[in-house]
Order: sequence, then C-alpha cells, then structure tokens
Amino acid sequence: MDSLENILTQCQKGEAKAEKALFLRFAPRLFGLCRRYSRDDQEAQDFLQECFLHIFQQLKKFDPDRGGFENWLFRVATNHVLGILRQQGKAPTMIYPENLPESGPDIIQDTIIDQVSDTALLAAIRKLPEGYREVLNLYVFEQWSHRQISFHLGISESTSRSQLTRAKQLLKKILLSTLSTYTHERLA
Amino acid sequence: MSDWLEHQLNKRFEGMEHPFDAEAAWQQLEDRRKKRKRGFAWWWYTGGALLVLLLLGSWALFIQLEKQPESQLNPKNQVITPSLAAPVAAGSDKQKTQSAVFQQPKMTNLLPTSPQQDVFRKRISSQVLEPTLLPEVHAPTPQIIEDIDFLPSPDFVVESSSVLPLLQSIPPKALPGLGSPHSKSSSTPNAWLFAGGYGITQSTTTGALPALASIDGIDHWQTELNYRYFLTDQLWISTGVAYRQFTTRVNAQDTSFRAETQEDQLIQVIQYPDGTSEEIYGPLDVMVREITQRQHWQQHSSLELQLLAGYQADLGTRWHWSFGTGISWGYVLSRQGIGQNPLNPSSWQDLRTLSYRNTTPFRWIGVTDLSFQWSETWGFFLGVQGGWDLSNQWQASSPDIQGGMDQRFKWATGTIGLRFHGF
Repeated sequence: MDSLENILTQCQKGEAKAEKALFLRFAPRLFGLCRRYSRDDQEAQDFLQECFLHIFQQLKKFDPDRGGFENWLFRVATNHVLGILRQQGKAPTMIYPENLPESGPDIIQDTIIDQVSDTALLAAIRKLPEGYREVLNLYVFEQWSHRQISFHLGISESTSRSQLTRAKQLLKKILLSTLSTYTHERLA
Repeated sequence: MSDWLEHQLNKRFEGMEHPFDAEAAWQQLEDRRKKRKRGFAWWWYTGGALLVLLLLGSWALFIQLEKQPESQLNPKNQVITPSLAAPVAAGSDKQKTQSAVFQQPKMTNLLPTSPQQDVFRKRISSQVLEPTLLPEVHAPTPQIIEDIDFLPSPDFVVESSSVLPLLQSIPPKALPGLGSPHSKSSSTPNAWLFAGGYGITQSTTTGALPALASIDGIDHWQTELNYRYFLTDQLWISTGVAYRQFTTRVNAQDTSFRAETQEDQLIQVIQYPDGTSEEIYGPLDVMVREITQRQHWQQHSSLELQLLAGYQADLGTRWHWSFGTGISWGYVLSRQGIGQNPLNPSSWQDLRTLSYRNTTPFRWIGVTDLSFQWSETWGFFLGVQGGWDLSNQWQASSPDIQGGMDQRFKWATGTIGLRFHGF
C-alpha cells in the first residue's frame, strides 16, 4: 500500500483506505496551492476537499505513460480551482476602472520580498484582486505560459502580460505597506 | 519566468507543505462525500418513484379502460347506443332496423383491425338478427349516428341496400369512434412530437459594464423529441430532449494597461502617533488603461432536457392549438474563433473550445403550436418556441460578479414537425 503505484491502483478500484492514504500524502502540498487561490484558510479547505473529490473521480483517466502523477495531480487541481472560481463568478477576465487599485510608488526594490515572512507574503498575494492573483499564480507558481493562461481564462495574451506586471507591482506595494505598518507599530 | 522577483516568489513557495490537521480534513471530506451521495440518491429515488407512479397510473388507466362494459366505452363518440346493444327481441322495430343495417354478413371480416375498429366489429358481431328483418329496414333514428361524421347517410345506406361496399370504401382514418386523438375518452390520447426548426438568437449584456461587450445572434438551429402526456382532455405535460446550435458574434473590448510615470504625485501619507501626518510626494507609476476593439464568433451546441406543461384546445375534429411553458436544462459546448464566415467554424482561426458548462440554472421556454391530425396515428404541426436564459441574470444578482460580463440569451424559433399518436 505504501508505494504510490499501489495506492493509485487501489484508488482506481475505489478503495477508501487508499484514497485516504493518497489524501494524507498530497493534501499538505495541495493545501498550499489552494491557499494561494483563496481569500482565507476556510475557503482553501473547501477548495482542497472539492479538488480531492474531483481527483478521485478523475483518477481512472490518469495515464502514467503521459507523465508523472504529481504533475497530473496539480494540473487537475489547478484547473478545478479555476473552474470553481469561475462558477462562483470570481474569475473576472478583465479589470475595470472602478476596480483598479491605487497606483503605488514608482520604484520598489524586488528585494522587498526578502524582508517579509512567508505568511506575510501569502497574505499579500491573497490581497491581490482575483484576476491579478490568478494570473500571478498560474504564471509564477504553476509556470503556465501566457498563451496557456489566455486560453484557460479566455483573455488575450497581452491582457495576461499586463495583469502579471500590474500584479507584481501591486504585490510589492502591499508588502511595502505591510512593512511600514510594522515599523510604525514598533515605533508606537 | 523572466525576472528575479518571479524566481524568488517561486522559490519561496515551491514544494512548501502547509501543516494542518489532515485527519480532520479527511473526515470533513468523507462527510461531504456522504452528503453528496445522499443528495444524488434522493434525486434518483425521487425520479424513479415518479416514473413508477407514472407507469402505474398509465397501467391502471389502461386496465380500467379494458374492463369497462362496451356499452359505457367511448361514450362521447359512441357508435351504437346501449339500447342498440340490447337483445333484439326486447327492442323496438326501429332499433332492430338500425342494428340490421350494421349486421351485413361479411362486413366484419373486411374491416381493418385497429383497436377502435375491433370494438366496433365486436359490437356488430354481437348482434344476432334474423335475416328476414333486412327487407323491413327503414330510416333510422337520427341521433344514433350523430357523432359519426364520416359514415354515409343512414338513409342512403338503407335505400341503396349496399352497405358493404360503402363501408369498405371508408379509409381507416375516417372510421368512427376515433374522435379527438387527445381526448381521454379516446384510446390514443398521448403523442410523440418530433420537430426541427430555425430561429434567431438575441443577447443583451447586463451587469457591471454592459458597454464592454455586446453579443449579436447570427443563427439558431434546433431539433427535439418530446413525449406529451395528457392529464385531462386538454391539460398536458411533456418531457423530452432538445439539441440546439447557435452562433453569436461577440463585440468585445480588450483592456490592457501601460505604465506611465507622473512626477510630483502623492505617494504615501504617514500618520504619526502624536496625531500629525506627513505626505510624501514623488514620481508615481500610473497605469494607463488601453482598450482594443475585438470581434469574434462563438458557436454553442447544447443538449438539453425539457419539462413542459400546457393546454390544448380542440379546433374541430382534426385541428388543435396548444400552448405551454416550462424549463430546459442541459450542457453546452462553446467554441470561439475569428474568421470571415461566422457560420463556418472550420474556417475560423484561433479556434478555441471553451469548457463544457451547464446552462444553470435553466432556460424558461414558451411553446405554441398548431397541429393537424392527418390520421389516427400521426399528424403535422407548426410551432413557435421562445426561450430565455436565466442563468446570467442570477449571476448578476451575485455580489461576487463585479467585473464579470453578463450575458442573457433570448431566442425564438419556428418549428415544424411530426406528431405520432397512440402511445
């Protein structure tokens, strides 16, 4: 039961024990993925459970000859999370003027991310508007190309590029704001 | 990834495991799965129970009709009244005369064998009359045959004394006793309807920013198969499947942003603990929004389940006017691309298959049709259908839809089809 191959074989037969083993093995990492797409941990838990229910259903379609299981797993999970967001109407394909965040300082050093913790970084990512967050996640963490992103989100490649640029700028601004709040709190 | 920031971000989160209570999460997942299974089971059981009820109801109705005495069967379109079915010896001369008209020796063997005609034949053959009565035939009582539209005049029958050839010449569709094919007193009340049609699609954009996109309908084809079940003489319910294919033109605006630096802009306001504040000015990177007009085509193919209920008015013996309303729900596959001919998807460039999605929550449908009963088993009909996709209107009411593009499809289709009775 320990080897992944055995677990997958048993899962494909619908064995509950194997499904649990698969869940326990991959849930912590998939939870990380879900956290990046969600607004809070409760929503991330929901995403995680929905992802695994979907994965258990789709497991019969997994073909080991076409690639590794982990790649397949994360790909399916990402697509499913995007699908959930779209179903909930939370995946806007365009950014409208009234939703534009305020512009930030011109130059913020990229190295600012070295000054914040993982938790603060995740919190900053979560503060990004939905569209920005999706493009940033897909491009930076899932390493999709802009062409793939435009295909899946139904936006043009130029929109994908501009949203990524904007997302990074806004992320740095949010991090700067976090740092300055932290500094003021310390001063007070 | 092209820059240092992206590499760093990826590095920070790559392979990161987030500690959480996996056992508890697994338990929650199990609970959710069980709840979902119960939900599915409920729908299956409810659907199955309804189907069983429908079958039992149909069977009970069928049995009831089978067991009814002949004298009570088909009262509306009765051919021979109970008094005629009584023994000849107890009847009047007039009754004997009328029965005798139908008691031609070889007639029953030559009649076609539909269920209605079997009843007709059985009744005739049950009359035992003396051949000597035949010469005494006179004009029958008029009300006896008032519902027999297609039979020749009784006077003519009697006077010509050649009933057999006349009965043989009557086409099956014109045999008496059929009445309205939709009447519950008839034995063929229900119908299969097969139809196809062409129409128009319209769409309006609503929601946050309707100006950013509009959608024009180009064409709309559909074909469908429905089963219409009559609860009473006029009220019906129907269920069936419909396949629709429609093409739309999307006039969209792509939004992109360009960075532009403006000098001496307010960057930050710092609030100090003593209540004072300081404003920091400097160069500000402003994002300029650029809009690009874009037009592309979308082709949608949907397979939908329809549930309708309505009313049918009889406009005489053969013409019927129906109207009803209901819901349609199913799955749609959408493709989009750009090309010279919007009606030829194979010529589209940059063709994309959008995801399958259901037409949640449903479409409202209104139908009306005029049908003509050609024979006892089938007929034609011409209809008009209109539909309204409610799904996006529901989305628009969601607080999370900000920034989304809402669409609302409306279509109207003329249909032509065949209608088969007797099921």
